[in-house]
Amino acid sequence: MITGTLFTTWLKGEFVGKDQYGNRYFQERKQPKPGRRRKRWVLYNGKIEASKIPPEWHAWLHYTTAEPIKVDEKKPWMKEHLPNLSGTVNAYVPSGDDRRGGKRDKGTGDYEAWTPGS
Amino acid sequence: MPKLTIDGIEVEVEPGTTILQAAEQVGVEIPRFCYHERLSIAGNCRMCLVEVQPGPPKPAASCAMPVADGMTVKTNSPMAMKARKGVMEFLLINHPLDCPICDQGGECDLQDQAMAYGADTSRYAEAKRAVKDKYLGPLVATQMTRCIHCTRCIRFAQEVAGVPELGATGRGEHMEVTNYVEKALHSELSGNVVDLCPVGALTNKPYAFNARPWELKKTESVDVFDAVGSNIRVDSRGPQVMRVLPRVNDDVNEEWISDKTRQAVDGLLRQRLDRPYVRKDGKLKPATWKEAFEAIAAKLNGLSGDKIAAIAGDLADVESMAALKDLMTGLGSTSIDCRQDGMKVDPAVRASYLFNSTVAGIEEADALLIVGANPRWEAAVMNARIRKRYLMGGLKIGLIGQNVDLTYKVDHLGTGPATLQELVDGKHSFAEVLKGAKRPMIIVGTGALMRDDGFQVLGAARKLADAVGAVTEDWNGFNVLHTAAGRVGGLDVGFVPGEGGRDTHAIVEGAAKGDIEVVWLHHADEIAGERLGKAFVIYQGHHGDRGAHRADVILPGAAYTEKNATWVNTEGRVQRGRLAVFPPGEAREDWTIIRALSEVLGKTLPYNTLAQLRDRMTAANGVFGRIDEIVPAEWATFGDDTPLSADAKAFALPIENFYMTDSISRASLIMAECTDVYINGNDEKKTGTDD
Ligand code: SF4
Ligand code: FES
Repeated sequence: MITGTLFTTWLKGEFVGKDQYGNRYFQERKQPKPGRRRKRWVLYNGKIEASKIPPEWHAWLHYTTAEPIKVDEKKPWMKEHLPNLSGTVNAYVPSGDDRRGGKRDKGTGDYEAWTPGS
Repeated sequence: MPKLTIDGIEVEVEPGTTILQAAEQVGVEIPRFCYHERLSIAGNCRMCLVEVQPGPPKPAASCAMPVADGMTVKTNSPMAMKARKGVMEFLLINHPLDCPICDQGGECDLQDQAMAYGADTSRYAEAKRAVKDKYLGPLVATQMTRCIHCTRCIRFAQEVAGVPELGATGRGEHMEVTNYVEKALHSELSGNVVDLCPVGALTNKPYAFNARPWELKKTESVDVFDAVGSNIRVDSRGPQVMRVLPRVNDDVNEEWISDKTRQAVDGLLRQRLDRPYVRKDGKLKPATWKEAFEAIAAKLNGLSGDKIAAIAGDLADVESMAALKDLMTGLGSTSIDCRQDGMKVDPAVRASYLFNSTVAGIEEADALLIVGANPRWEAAVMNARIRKRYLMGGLKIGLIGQNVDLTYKVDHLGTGPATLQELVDGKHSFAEVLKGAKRPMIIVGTGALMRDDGFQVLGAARKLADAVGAVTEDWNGFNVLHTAAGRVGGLDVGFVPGEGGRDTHAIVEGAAKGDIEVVWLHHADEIAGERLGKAFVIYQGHHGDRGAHRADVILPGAAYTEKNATWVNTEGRVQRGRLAVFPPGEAREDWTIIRALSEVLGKTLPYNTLAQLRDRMTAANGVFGRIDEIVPAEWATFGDDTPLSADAKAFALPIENFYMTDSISRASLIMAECTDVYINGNDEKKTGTDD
């Protein structure tokens, strides 16, 4: 239920930015009382899933950085952010799993069974 | 007898004992590398230095110094400790620091003794020497830089194995242990140098980098690759047997095992029967146990007992044969036989099929006649015993049969039964040798007994034994050398044709003609399938070998490492093998399969546990209650007294290839490689371009 969040956003929110996946980030419009910090929150694009938030915005959301990190140059070693895929068809399966051909390295106790005709 | 004091303990020992042996008797341990109780004394590692008084004021090598009356030996005096520390430091100068990548790690004498007696640091900063690795064949890996020149391997090859192929070149720092040529070590016992080598210079090649000693589960068991019943330790990790090591038993294998025993276990991972199969529409189809049992029940339903037969093979354990015999009796069949090679012995006279002199007894013999056997291949460890006796001197050995190299000198008397007959008639000069001996021994091989005139050979050997006085109150020189681990057990449990029953030969013939409709092959793989005609074949076993291909129903059983079972070796020694790992997949321990089937057939066998079954075996034959004991067999007349014909054909040998004798070793890749190297003669080191 995000009706409450939508209402709060309309009432108090200030739009800060949008990531490449369409998630929108907000913070409180008003300066808070001394001793408190401005609340930050996200409105997800589609399904609510915390792992969809890329690291730049994750850092801002958790007050690690004051401003959202700007990624202007993509380094070759930087990988595309992936949400947690567990439970989906794209979930990670080790190479020995049947869904990936069931081929794995030899392990202790592996034996070759006899089959007729072999 | 000399009396001496070792570390304050007074002890009286036999003259000629060395200080090290005397110390062992009182429980004082002296470190050593080159000394080994089953090899000659070399005295070249100097690790066993102790302080001896009276004598020169320097430490003495205790392994090579005989005791003298009034000696005082100190094994832990400052002088001895310092001497050891020094020796250790010298040894480590040229020993590489590669314990983390060395297969000996964790079971290395050098590692242990360096911890116990060595210094804590090294003062050596110069470069260490390096030695080129040698090629010793497919079973022994070498890292000769690690060698500490104890010469144990050289002495073993020379003395025990009888293949003087190893030696040393150079001296001092330039000494190298080598076989001079890049050829494999031609011995059936070569694997034992791995156990002897106190460091990681010689290691087990097939097992290389597979496991560390501390992750292995050790199970004490018995070997089944020949009929000697070598005592072994099965090292397993999880569901896999990683390696096999010898266990000391002075009465059987001392501390050696043959290469097949040690290395064929990789065959346990190949060609395994791990589920029942039933033949439907001419094709073997995977089935459940229930379906397999029902298929058998449907076939046996209403079939009269004389149309059913069972043959037990070389790897059948006593428990399952006892159960199968009971089941066959329940079905009304007496056509059972445990001699798939058709060897002729008298099941009623135990002495007629045992190695009566016992393996240890070989050392007491003073004349030996081998008839139709090649002990080097049929019982490699026993052959080492004969060689040991031969080296003691004063043993005359005669051989009738194929003239093979047995690693000791033999008089080749002849090749066939005619020579044996001459001996019986006293016309041959070797008869005098046997007669003159106090403890003559006659070894009859299966090769001489599995012929059509086998009973005559048996009778002739018996007559010869009687004639030369080989059987007395305390000595029985008549010996049958079996090749199969299951044979004596089968004979002892009575897995032989009962009244009106057929033996192997007649069963096969009957099946071909259609008189026998159901044949149960119990671990029997040496019967060619097409000879069984249209018979319905039930195969019980653990490997998809010859037997399985012809089968109509396959019942997957357990291999020797996978069951608690009883084995009887060729001497008649009852020994227990133990379960090290579980049988794969759906396979089960063999006797439980037969017990379960008996219920489906409505002939429920009266035992539910292994203990009950063993009680029953003991009730049937008392020897099964006497584990690891020799029960001397009653001497009687047996065999056929008809003289052997002069033109009977020469004795053939039962084993053509030492490395492949049964379903396990035939499935083993390492044994296949050994066959290529030793049997086919490709024993030169392969260069990189060869494969
Ligand atoms: S190879 Fe091993 S057994 Fe042979 S001399 Fe060297 S250390 Fe001793
Ligand atoms: S054990 Fe005595 S010198 Fe090696």
